Amino acid sequence: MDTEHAFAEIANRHRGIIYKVARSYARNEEELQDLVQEILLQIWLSLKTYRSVYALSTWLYRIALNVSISFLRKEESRRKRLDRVGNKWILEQPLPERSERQELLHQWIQQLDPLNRALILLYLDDYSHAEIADILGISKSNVGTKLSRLRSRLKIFFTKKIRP
Amino acid sequence: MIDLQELKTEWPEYNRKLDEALTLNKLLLSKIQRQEARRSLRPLWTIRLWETNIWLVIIVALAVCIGAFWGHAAPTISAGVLLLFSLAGLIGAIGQLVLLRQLDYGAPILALQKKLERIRMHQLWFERLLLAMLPLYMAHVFFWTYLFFGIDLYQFGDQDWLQANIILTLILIPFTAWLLREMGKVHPRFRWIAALRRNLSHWQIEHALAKLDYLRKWEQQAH
Repeated sequence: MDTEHAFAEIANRHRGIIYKVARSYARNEEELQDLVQEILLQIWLSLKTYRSVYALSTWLYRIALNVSISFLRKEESRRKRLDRVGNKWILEQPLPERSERQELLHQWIQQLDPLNRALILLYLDDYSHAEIADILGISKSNVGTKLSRLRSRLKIFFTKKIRP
Repeated sequence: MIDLQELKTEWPEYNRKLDEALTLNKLLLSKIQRQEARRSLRPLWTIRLWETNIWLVIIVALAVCIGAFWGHAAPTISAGVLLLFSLAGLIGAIGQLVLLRQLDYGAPILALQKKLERIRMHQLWFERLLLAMLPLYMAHVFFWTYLFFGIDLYQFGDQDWLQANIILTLILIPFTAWLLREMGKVHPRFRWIAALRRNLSHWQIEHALAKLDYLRKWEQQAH
């Protein structure tokens, strides 16, 4: 398979990861579109450095998170030189409706700092502590500690939001 | 009470529905493949390449000067000192090119983010290098006076003036070392140092320092 086809195949098969990460870091619809585009561009540019020792989804997560974390700060200057490639490029159907709890979870994720946001996304996607540690570049025990802190923060958040 | 584990069980179902709703259009993918020129760090690469070339020119010029000044100790040593600083500048610029070349977005998050911030902080490194020359200001005085007027100030200068400058140099050494250390801190001890850094550097340096600090703290916050 040539690189162009491989790229199209990877991007399409893992569009969920790309979109999910971008959605957790973008502050509005416009940023979301720019960020997805930026992640796709970086995947295309990094394709030749991909080594099959990593699962493809792990590698994609790393790229998506790395781009997203460094994206927001430079957003303004980037937007000026962005050659947008069209609007209706990712959603063909309306987004599935989220339950109230999922909506609150999304709100909570959005107010976390960038690295904790990455950690929680990986956790929700059922990555093991060892895999999360590998993707983020921290120790396994650190992952456990941080997750338990995040659990407490989540409880406080939900208690505040749900309590009438 | 809602738990993270409980929410985790709902996550795959929502993801499945989301996946069904998403479609990447082929036009987007083919256009992205043609956007290589938009690589976000490409301008930085060009600037560093220019910087490397400029340092090389300065080094060659200084080497020529050393050859021409030979026999006059002070101007020759001064040119040597300037040459050493220029070499440090060149190494810094080449280091940046290597860092830029090695950037791998598929690397662990903390490692890549730190590299990115270090690249953004290069200007601060350059400014600190220039500041490090403060105690060696006499090297400039000897070098430029000899270059433009052919006068060896060390040989023909007033001895009291020379001694006064040597004392000032000795005072400036610890002060400069302290200033350089403070400039590298996220929160310098004195406001004027932060103001000096803000005036010398681009706002991005402040952001890079703060982000590096955040990354370090996040990495260490295990227990």
